[in-house]
Amino acid sequence: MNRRDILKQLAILSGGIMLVPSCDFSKNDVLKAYDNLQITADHKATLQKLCNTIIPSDTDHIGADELKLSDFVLVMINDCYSPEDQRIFTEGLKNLDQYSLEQTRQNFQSMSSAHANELINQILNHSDPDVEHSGDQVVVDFEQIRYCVRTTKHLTVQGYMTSEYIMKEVMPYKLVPGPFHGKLRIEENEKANIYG
Amino acid sequence: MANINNKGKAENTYDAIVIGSGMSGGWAAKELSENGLKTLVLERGREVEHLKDYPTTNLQPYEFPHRGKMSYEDAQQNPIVNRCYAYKEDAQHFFVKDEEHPYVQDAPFDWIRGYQTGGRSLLWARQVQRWSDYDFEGPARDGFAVDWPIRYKDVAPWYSHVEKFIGVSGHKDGLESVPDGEFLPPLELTAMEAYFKQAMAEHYPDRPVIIGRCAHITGNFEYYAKQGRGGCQNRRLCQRGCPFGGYFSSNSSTLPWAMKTGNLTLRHHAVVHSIIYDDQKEKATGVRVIDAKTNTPTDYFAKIIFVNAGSINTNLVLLNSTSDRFPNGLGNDSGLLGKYMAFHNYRARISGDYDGLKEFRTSGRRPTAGYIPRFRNLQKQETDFLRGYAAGLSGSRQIITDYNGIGEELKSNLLNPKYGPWRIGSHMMGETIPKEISTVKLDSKLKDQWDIPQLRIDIQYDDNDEKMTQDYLEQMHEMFEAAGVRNIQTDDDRRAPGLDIHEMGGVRMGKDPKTSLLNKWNQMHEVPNVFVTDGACMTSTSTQNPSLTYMTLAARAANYAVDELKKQNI
Repeated sequence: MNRRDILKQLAILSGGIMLVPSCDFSKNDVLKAYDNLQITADHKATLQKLCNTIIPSDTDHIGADELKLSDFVLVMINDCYSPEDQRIFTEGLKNLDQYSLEQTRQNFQSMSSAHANELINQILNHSDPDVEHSGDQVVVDFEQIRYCVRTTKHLTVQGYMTSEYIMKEVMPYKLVPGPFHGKLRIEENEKANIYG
Repeated sequence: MANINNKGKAENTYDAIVIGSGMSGGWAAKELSENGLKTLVLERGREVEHLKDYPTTNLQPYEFPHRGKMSYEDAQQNPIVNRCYAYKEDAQHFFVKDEEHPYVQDAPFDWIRGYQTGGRSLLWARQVQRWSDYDFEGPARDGFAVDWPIRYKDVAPWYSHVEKFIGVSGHKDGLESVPDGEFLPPLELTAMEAYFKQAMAEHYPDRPVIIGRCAHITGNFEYYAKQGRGGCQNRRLCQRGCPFGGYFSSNSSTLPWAMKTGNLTLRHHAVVHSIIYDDQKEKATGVRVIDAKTNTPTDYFAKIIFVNAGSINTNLVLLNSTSDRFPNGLGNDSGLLGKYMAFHNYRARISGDYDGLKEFRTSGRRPTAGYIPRFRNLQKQETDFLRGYAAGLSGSRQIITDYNGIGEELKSNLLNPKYGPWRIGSHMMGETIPKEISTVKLDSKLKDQWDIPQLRIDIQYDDNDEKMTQDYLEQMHEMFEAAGVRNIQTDDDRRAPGLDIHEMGGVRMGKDPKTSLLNKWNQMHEVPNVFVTDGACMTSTSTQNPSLTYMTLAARAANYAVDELKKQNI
């Protein structure tokens, strides 16, 4: 089975899990495809929520869920990152829920999108590394969480901007772009296309 | 070597053998077979057939699972080839992985190779500026290497011969430093580049800016249709192989053309062990080949042999071709084989922003860029270093995306990028001085998987290169400032030699057998039926991208060899 097929299966599988979130049997099943990263269905659901918090869908544009960007993030982490970076990423992902409970007393996976947005923004913009210490005890490793969230943002944005959806429907990229012009006047209110 | 497969010597006998099917080998093959010679081309790699074997050519960016990026594992296993700008998910199958053909680096040297039909002609950057006498006269004027045995007038008609066939887009600029050729319509400079050209004309009249001449078909379409090639579509995905045949490669052009003569035989997986020299006949009689897959040796025989294995591998073949007559390598009485290697210095680059021309943008993609021919030390020596550099120049309208925020804010930012200032950038292409200490040689113990000695490469920068790099950055900084460019940033990446992929020399041309290996016809002084017409023959490097000159020398030498055969001189 190639990676593409695995991903397809994974998408079906994790989609199913989201419909039955209380199913303990599959919840911590390490998904075969991600043996290396030790990503469980539960972590996958956290990642999906994270991706969708970074790029949600709206009435005009589809977002991370529809584009399965969490799959793209995992493939990139699994194939293109060093074992050490993978370890930090996975640890951060595992601890995100715990961090969410400590900071907001809410479960990240089930919190409203407004609250999720607030929490993730807080993690990305955090300047004080001492806050995650409760007394002298380190509750969770905040740096790992921040690495995971930042890396996920980077890859989610990359996956989004290089998705078939964006490159076909929003900012068209043409394999055969037509003649080159070195000096074209920009029309008023013309939208810039990074692939134009 | 036991069990040499010599059965049917007649079956393995041709008029000519060409070692290598790349840029220059393809040209030798075309000229020889067109002249009626039964020609065998030996290619060490696999077959890559034009159109058929370009698996990624029509893939969209989002069809690459990692959007072009190579895996962590691949980067760990192949640090050398991963440093090449074109080694990405879409073209990685055309590059040699580090382990596939090991070599020893006595000094860091990134040897970037493509073992397949067409070699690196599938992957090249397609820039084709002619040399002038400022280049051919360089060593004699400035007292390094040896005098070239040829001048511009000797090669000018052959430049034309090659340009017409490969298709060269360019503008007739009337410059002595890069003579005009047989040009198809030029591509446009961008508004920024055109402005910079004008600014240079004002402030530095001796530093012209031109559109880079490139091996792309932009006109005379009926002529190229005969090769089965169409016009360039500006896809700028050339490294994948072009489904239109829009740029020149051996695969799209010379090899199929030679095949049509009925005189060409192309043998793949043929790793050349050595050239066979007959002490009695006092000439080379054939080539010993190891099959890359079965490790079976086979000898092939011919009247003339063209060595076009790709500069460094050409040195390897000749160094490994030992006999009683030539114990130190074929035609190497001078002892200079594998010495006086050189390359192009691509270390430095510069970039900046320009605030004018706000109402303009570009559209589409372009397979070339602006070019500033060498101006340093051109007419006479004027600095404390020898020779000079050409510069690539590229100016484009920036589109800036704000990556701040998450959620709706981020999405809105991503989907509404804004025009930023024009960005202009340049990189240097510096001439390096061939020196006796810059060498490739055979390791006395280490062998590759075909039992051929591994190469040791020892080629380094010198003080001249350091000074030239500094001068490029200083001069370009001044030129950018004069044009009103701001936010100027410079970089010297100190990349290892080799990553320029313009390695040259080791089997240099010259007038005297004591100080060179090849005569003015690329013919070995001491083995007149062997010709070397790839980068190994280069006496000096100048600054121009070298492929056009290799092809030109190959075509010229092949026609000379045919004449000499007819006259029974070889």
